[in-house]
Amino acid sequence: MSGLTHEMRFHLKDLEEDILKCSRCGFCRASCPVFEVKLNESWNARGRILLIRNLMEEKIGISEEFINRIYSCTLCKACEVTCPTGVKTEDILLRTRKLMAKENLLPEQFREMTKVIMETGNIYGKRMGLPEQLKFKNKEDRGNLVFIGCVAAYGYPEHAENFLQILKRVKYKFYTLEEERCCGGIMKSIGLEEEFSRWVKRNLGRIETCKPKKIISICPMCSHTLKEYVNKATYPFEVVHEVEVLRDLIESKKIKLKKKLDLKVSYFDPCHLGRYLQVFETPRRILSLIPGIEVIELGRNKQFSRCCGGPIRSIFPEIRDKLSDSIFQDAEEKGVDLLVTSCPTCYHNLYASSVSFDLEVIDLAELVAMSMGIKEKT
Amino acid sequence: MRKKLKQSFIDQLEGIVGSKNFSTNEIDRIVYSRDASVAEGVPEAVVWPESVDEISQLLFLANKERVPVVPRGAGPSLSGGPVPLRGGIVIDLSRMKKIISFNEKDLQIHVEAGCVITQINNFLLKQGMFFPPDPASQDVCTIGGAISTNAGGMRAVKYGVTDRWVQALKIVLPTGEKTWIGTKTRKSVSGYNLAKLIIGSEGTLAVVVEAILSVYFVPETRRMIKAFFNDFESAGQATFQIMSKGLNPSIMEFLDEYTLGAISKYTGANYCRGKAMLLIEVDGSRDEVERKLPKIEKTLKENKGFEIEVAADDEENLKLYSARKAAYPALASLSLTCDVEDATVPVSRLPEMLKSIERISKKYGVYIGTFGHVGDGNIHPNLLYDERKKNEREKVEKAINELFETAIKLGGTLTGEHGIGKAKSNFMKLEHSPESLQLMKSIKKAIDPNNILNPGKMGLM
Ligand SMILES: Cc1cc2nc3c(=O)[nH]c(=O)nc-3n(C[C@H](O)[C@H](O)[C@H](O)COP(=O)(O)OP(=O)(O)OC[C@H]3O[C@@H](n4cnc5c(N)ncnc54)[C@H](O)[C@@H]3O)c2cc1C
Repeated sequence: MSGLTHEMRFHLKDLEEDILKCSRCGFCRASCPVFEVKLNESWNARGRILLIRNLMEEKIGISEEFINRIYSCTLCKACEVTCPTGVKTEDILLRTRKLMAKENLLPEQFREMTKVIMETGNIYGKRMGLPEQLKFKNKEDRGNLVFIGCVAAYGYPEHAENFLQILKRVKYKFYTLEEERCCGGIMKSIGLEEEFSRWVKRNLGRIETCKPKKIISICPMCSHTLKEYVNKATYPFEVVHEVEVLRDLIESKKIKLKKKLDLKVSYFDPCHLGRYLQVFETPRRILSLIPGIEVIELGRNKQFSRCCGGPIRSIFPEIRDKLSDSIFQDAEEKGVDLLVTSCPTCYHNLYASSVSFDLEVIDLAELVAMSMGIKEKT
Repeated sequence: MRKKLKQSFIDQLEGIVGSKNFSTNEIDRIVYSRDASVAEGVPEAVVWPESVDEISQLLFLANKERVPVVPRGAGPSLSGGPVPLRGGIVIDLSRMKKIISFNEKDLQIHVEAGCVITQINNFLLKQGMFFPPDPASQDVCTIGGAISTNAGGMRAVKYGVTDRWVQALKIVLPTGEKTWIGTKTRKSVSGYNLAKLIIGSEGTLAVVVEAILSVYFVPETRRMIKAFFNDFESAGQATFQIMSKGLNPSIMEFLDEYTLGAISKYTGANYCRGKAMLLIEVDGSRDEVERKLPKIEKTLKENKGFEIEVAADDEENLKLYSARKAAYPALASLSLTCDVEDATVPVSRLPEMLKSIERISKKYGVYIGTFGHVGDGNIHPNLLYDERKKNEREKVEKAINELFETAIKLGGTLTGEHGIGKAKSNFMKLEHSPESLQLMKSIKKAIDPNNILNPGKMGLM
């Protein structure tokens, strides 16, 4: 159990107004996905904020359980949607984590994960070369850089390949980096601000040397992380997510969706694309333009969407399992053939659950590729 | 002062509910020390029972050892009701959330106490039914908590509050016995109405563990109307006439000038007109609604209502409903702290109450935005302040005292739906005679002789 250092005491005070905005109405119970699993107030947004308040008031110290509660939040922002008083829980938790991480009060797995990323450049902990099929050389300045991100590049190269093949087919000019590196978003969410800052600066430095006009990212977390940083530091390029490019190419008829797919699908909104970047309609628009696809909304969708549990999977695998199971249960109740998402991390977590259900998860770009006839329907 | 819980007691508790449903960890205890009021009290243990038997064994043990037990649902209570003022055990019923059965012939649903109202409604909507009580906290509050506070909501003006929809309750008494009370029939005069005694008893007499509720058909259609007024009398008069003409609105809400300003700022739509707005909904068959709408419009006009607007379709309905829903968040966004009160007066005394609120606001220099369910005289003055500032806290306290006194003088009651809990405990004397207070204490003593169930609440003991 640790008490407060002078520095923590000093900086926690800055959070006071934001913390006191919580009226403790508990409306976050209706949206916090981790609470839905645990049904214990200390795993809910209101509970976590009350814990931070008690820490600030020095009524409690930082115990292992405290660390667990603060780090079990997936930062999905669902609680902010149902909060009537506008409490910025994600921001409060991030700032608290920053203070804790500085004192090394964070789960060991997260510290380890950061070390691994710093050493190998990706979350898989191995130095890996970019698969050949994802290598596209930069031939001009001010072009479109596809930032594949480490999960898609090394975990799900076939997803990245689908997207790149679509672009190639419609003669959309783009290139990829020689090595894909973690965007740093994880370090930020852990609270390792300095490490994150250094990392993202180095990443952007690498990107800047190839002078892109646009960065297209495949992973929503990368989109958000890069976008936020780029906006702050005024880099001369914009950041978009792949669904935005796909939508434009489909609407401008460059991508021709010819094949009828005859599928009932539900779309799962990734937190970073949905609640963070407010991109809800674009993926739905794409689905609506694929012949034969019928979209049936999940019971909890868009702003109210659950979280796949990705950010906490290494420390709370059992919560992650239940979170992604509940998304599948929702889809199963809707009687759909497929669950579609547009985030490699969500895909990863949902895929793990899919084995227990008679239902599969698919990446949105793959459906597009299927309808274009690039990829066979499996 | 009671001694700390003995280790042997803690071990027995854990034995009853199992280690995953039990905690004495500081982290788990701290989060159960508050609700949405200013009350505070840290429990010594928290349990999340999963069966009636567990609760029964737990109460038997606690009663034997004289350990306080506080039942808790979702904890949005605004009165301190679920806060363990004297330590002991908090029973969180959230994990008892099964919908046990639905009886479509008698229009009844049997649920566990931890079911959330919206969960029940999501189930019922598939059958074309709904459970009418609609507290604003319905997405989180449990049916056990709603029963224990006799919760109401906007539609209470037509459908009544929770007690109208409770048929029978399974309860566990403080001494550990479990029993069903109430009836499955639509009528019964068989013995004392024990279910009504438990409803609204705020967890001081029994733990509600299951309930059989009656439910109703979702109306064919719903339409909203709004009108602005330049003075409280006209708005009050219009309310009174709509109610007394038997037009039976399903929502009859009032929003004052200050609240309208806050909503306009919060939503971007402009609702700043006159001194007040009334928001009315009628529901039922299309015929019935079409017949009532012009009559309501006429009454609003006769009472100097202006910019009267009938929602043309569901989208406009939703827009008006959302404006009302934004009232609390909009007011809360104006200050650090927002204290919601719910003094209630006879409908005929509303204009006086509203004027008094304005006067009290000026007198103490406290911003008060008022909205609420005028159709049943239940209004919510929202007092805005900064809880960190002692002088502001003191002014708010004085203003609240005077609000209560005024409501009682006007023949009203301290609380229409939020309950007494700790917050209004000291004011019970204002409203109730010494004899009736004594009667309440005798009932409490008869059912809970050792005062273990939610002690320190409702001005009892
Ligand atoms: C923003 C906001 C809006 C609100 N709007 C409304 C409204 O429109 N109408 C309204 O009526 N209320 C409203 N409330 C108050 C509150 O939400 C309700 O009183 C609700 O019914 C409480 O239910 P709960 O399950 O959350 O109970 P809790 O808040 O947990 O507890 C309330 C009381 O019931 C007791 N209790 C809980 N469960 C049981 C049980 N199973 N057996 C015995 N006792 C039990 C507790 O001990 C406590 O005394 C509002 C609150 C907030 C914060």
